[in-house]
Amino acid sequence: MTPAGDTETVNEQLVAYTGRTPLELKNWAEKIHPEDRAQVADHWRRSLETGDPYEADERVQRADGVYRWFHTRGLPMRDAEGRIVRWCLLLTDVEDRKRAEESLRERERELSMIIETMPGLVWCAVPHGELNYVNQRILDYIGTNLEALAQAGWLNFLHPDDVQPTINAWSSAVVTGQPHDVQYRLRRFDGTYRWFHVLGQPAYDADGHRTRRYGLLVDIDDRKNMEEALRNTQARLSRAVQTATVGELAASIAHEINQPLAAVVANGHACLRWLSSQPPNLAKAHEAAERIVRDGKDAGEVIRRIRALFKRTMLEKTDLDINEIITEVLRLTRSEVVRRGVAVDTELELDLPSVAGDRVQLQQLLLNLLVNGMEAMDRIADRPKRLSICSKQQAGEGVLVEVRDCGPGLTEPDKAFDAFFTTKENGLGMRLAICRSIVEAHQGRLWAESANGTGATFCFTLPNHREANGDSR
Amino acid sequence: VTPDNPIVLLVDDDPRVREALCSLISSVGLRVAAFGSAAEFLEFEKADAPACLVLDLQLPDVSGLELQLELAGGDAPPIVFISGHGDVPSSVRAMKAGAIEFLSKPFGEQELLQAIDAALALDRTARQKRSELAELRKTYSPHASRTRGAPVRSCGLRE
Repeated sequence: MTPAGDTETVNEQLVAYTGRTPLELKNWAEKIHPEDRAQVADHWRRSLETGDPYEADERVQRADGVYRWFHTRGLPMRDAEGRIVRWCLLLTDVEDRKRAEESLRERERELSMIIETMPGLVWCAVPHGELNYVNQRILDYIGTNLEALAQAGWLNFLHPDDVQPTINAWSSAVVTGQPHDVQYRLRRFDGTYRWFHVLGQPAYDADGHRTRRYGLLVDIDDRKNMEEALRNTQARLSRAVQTATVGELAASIAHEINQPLAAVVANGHACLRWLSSQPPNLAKAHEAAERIVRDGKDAGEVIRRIRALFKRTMLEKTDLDINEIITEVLRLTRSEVVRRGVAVDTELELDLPSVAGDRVQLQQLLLNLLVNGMEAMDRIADRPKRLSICSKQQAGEGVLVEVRDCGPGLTEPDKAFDAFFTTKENGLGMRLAICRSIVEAHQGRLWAESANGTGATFCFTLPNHREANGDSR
Repeated sequence: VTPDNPIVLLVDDDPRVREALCSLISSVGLRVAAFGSAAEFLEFEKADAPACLVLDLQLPDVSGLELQLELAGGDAPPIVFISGHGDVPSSVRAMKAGAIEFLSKPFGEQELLQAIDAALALDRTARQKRSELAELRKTYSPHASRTRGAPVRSCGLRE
């Protein structure tokens, strides 16, 4: 090009591309896309005036009429005095690069549209926790802009009670490189806090270095409130059940004491009558007096057991092997087992995890269940009296113990623990109610199963040592 | 001691209460037979004598109220209920179904013995009526008139 901007020479590539002769190319401007013409002319004029290098992107028409993008750079060549003697311009075909850039921009627009419109709050942070992106929903929610948020620190928008647990979860996720999963309350622009479920995921570069952590916050406030309402209802129900149980227990206690008391009173009257008969029947009077002593002691024993039942605070939990306790109780009851003609078989799983429990109470629990099972079989004459005890590990529930008898079974297994309910002639209606209170004091479960007239199975679970500690903060 | 040799039938699942009441009842010269369950009581062959049933409300097999319903309408003896935790609805049901008395444990001897006396008196009257009725049937039934003079077996009202 001449210093005035007229075409001097063009190379063969340009002639081949445009399909125009060098002479025709003197009027190069008509080969530029009409939309780009003004801008190109403008740039070119400025470079000619100032002598600054020329640089522009424009579409140039090919011989077949198709426009392609070119990047054009032009440099002035100067003589010794610094005067421009000629302009050299280099046109580079950038059509493919332009297309790639365009599609990349399109994708970026799409992605950013997705992130901005999805019903969640999205953030991105560098590995040590500094935020470098949040979506518009976060800013709308907390009512600030990214700079203010970065300056204040996102922890400042959390509920004070949730800050420390969140820091802990974040730190441990950063150390281990694991995804993180927390719930916290985030302050809205109007000052109210709402619960969010936050899921964070680390991202890695090609070399496996952690470069980013992406997070998604989902508003779970309504769900949380519903859960809370449910919990309150459950708590109220459980209090109602407890009250009902206390009433039942009181009636049951009255019954337990009234029985020996009725016997004492009747024996006392009988004793007096035998003494005052003509002639006095001393042998009968003596028998009645002995029964008074015996039944009086019985009533005292009931009181002692009831007191023991209510001394819950005395629970001394230690690390226990449930199999050891089963074996101990079986040793204690051996003579009773023989006397009643019962065959006991055991199936105890080895290497059970230890349970946290009160040794004496757990012994009492097993003793009650064993005696209960043996008594249920007292009247069996047509088949062997078999009592099976088995212990095993129960996924998620710690240790499971089953005591199975082959007595008449239970018509209503769910009622077995009601304070009155007994199917036994000499049964103490409170025995199973006591069992249940022991198991519940150990955060376990006790229930009964009965399969159509072929005996009853009493099962209880006790959480293992670690879980129980977690519960009893 | 009355000449017709009455008997008190006692049903209670608690052996301590059974022993004590047997002793008390026999100390006043009454015969007594004790049972631990309704089933045992039903199996027992009843003596031909005035009787009364002293019945515990809570039994291991069926409740005292159920046994009362089962016996109702027959020649069963009058019932005196005893209970370790007598609740109002149960006592009302028992009395409505014809029980003589509903005693809450522990009870005094006077209450029990008076109730037993009343029950035995009632049973004596009932037995008397039944026997008079049987006598009338024997006399006026067509079968009896055809076989006048032949030995006739005594038969109950229900047969």
